[in-house]
Amino acid sequence: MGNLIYCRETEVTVPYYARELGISLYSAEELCYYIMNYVLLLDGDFIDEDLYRFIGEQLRRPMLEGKLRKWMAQTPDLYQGLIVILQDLHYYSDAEINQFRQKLEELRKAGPLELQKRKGDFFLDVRQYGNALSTYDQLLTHRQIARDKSFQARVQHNRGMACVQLMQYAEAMECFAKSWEVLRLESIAKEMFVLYCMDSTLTMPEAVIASVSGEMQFRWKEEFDAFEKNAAYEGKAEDIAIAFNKDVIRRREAIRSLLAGWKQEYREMAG
Amino acid sequence: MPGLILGVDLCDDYSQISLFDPETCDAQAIGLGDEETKCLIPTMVCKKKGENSWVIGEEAYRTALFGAGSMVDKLLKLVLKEGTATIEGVMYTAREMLRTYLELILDIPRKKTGLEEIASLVYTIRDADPKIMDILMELSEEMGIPRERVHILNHTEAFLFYVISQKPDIWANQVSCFDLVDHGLHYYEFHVVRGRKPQVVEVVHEALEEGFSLEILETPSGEKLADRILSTCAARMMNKKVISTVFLTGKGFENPQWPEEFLRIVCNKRRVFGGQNLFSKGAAFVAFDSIQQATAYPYITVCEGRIHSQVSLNVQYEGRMRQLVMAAAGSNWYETKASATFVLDNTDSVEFLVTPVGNTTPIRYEVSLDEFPKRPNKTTKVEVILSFTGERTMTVRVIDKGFGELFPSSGRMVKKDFYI
Repeated sequence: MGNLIYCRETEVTVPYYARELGISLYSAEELCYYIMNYVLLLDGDFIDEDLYRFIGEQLRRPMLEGKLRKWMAQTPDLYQGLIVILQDLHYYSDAEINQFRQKLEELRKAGPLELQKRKGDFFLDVRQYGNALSTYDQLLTHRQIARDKSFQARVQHNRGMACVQLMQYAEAMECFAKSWEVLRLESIAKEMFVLYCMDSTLTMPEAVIASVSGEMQFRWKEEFDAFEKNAAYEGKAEDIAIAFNKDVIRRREAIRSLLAGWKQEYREMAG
Repeated sequence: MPGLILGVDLCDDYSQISLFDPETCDAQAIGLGDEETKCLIPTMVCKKKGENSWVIGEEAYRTALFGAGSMVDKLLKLVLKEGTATIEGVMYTAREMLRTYLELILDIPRKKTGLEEIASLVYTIRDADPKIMDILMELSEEMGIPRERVHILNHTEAFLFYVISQKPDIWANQVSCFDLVDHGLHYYEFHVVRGRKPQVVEVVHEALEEGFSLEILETPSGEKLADRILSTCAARMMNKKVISTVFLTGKGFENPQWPEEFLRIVCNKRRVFGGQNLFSKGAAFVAFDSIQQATAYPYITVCEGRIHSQVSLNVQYEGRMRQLVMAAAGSNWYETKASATFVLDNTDSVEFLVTPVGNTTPIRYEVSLDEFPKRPNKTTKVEVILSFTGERTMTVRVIDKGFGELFPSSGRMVKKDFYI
């Protein structure tokens, strides 16, 4: 059964700036949601003076601020600190916090490279492709990554996906090729083929072409053509069509709103 | 706060003003003169000929009578009709003339006490019409009295507060009040509902059909007829009831000795009080109470003009389920406005629990929020605003506030009216 969660009336004059996402948080509820859903983005610096001040002065929770300061001074453990915040703010139920605790344990067990990759994947998920790219780049320069070829190939693949979204097709093709060399997956070959269809100036490695039958390539081409055809009537194309169907005054407003949305989206994507 | 604490009984025929004295904890009626009879101030204004000056009350009568000015009466009715009056070629709206009247009537206590500031002001009008209430509020603000210092009661509420401000033995049993005015006879009956916590006090008001014009009291035969009418009413209304106190008020009881038969009935083993300022004093008591930190009236007051049910929401706060009261039973509907912010947790509706006084089982009213954009759970903040347009008509507004910069607000609002 659903509930209404009562929100305390607190006037936040100085919001907390969540630099990982580039947005400001204005309430205890938003802080809890941010911790719960963006934990992969949080590093050891998250619980800092800014956060203490936000909790103590803006959210008017000096008790929590004091508790957190004391806790972090004794055992500077980010994950425990996050649990302290969530428990004190009561935004999530005990069951939800327990689930989160398990997730944190799982993250704790994962190595630093795996964590970094998950962070990149998370950025990819939330369409922050610029951030994803820089996270993968950082990871690929790590000395230890060369020891696990498969892991490195998976990172390359995901880096390629980020490049596609940023329309850096040549670089994407290069990433996919490096990934395919190790993993030899048909799905990667297909991605390279689609990329080639999108930009015929690119070249697909001979080995990849040789690994896929002509019949399969024909089927992929058919799929791509169908997708391209539909794309003219769906998503953003549909939004444009709707905007242009409006009368002169409303059309201008709709186009302005669409452009503003896309600009914002691009800024977030490019990080 | 040093300042005047006033109760103003505003009627179409006469008005009265009572000044609360915090030292004696009592209210005193004041008028243009020193005598008590002068406390009844005719609700009329008169503009002096050739001057830009106005007079009110008896002086307005006199000025008009001697042809020295033009008089306008029945100001409240005129305001309701959005009427106007043209005096010496200038058109004045009823609202403007009511403002002039209020300014002059509020000058009376100012002149008598030397205090300018009004700390608390309570108007009482016979039937609290929302339009009149809005205008009184607006005019008060225009006159420099902040809205939060002004309250409006109907006569039933003013009577209720007058009674519970008296010694408890006065209202140990039922209390009756006959209000005889030119436009009718009103009967009020006060009683305490026993065995409830907090204690419930209730007043029932009835505008009796037997009302008569006060002009008939000018002849002995007319007085006799009026006495017979009143006696019949008293016998009917007070039959088989344990009434300990009776109040007689209104212009018709200015000389309370005339209705002999009626007095014989009402005075039978009861205390009877006659006076002209019951409602304005009741208002003055509320004016004082409204500026205290804690109320002196910890009762649920049930009467016309007050909400008959408690309106609440089941909410989660600090991890526990609690009941959040948005409107308390017995609150003045005009002043009851509440708002609170919530986050929707696995729900797309807001459910109100309406519990009538004396009942324990609430009636549920739901506001669906299907129109709001779909977002992940716990990422939609809503502001719920509750107000009333009458004692039984509740208006709920729910506004989508989004979830900060993570999920911006759609600005959508759902509005629903309920008859409770």
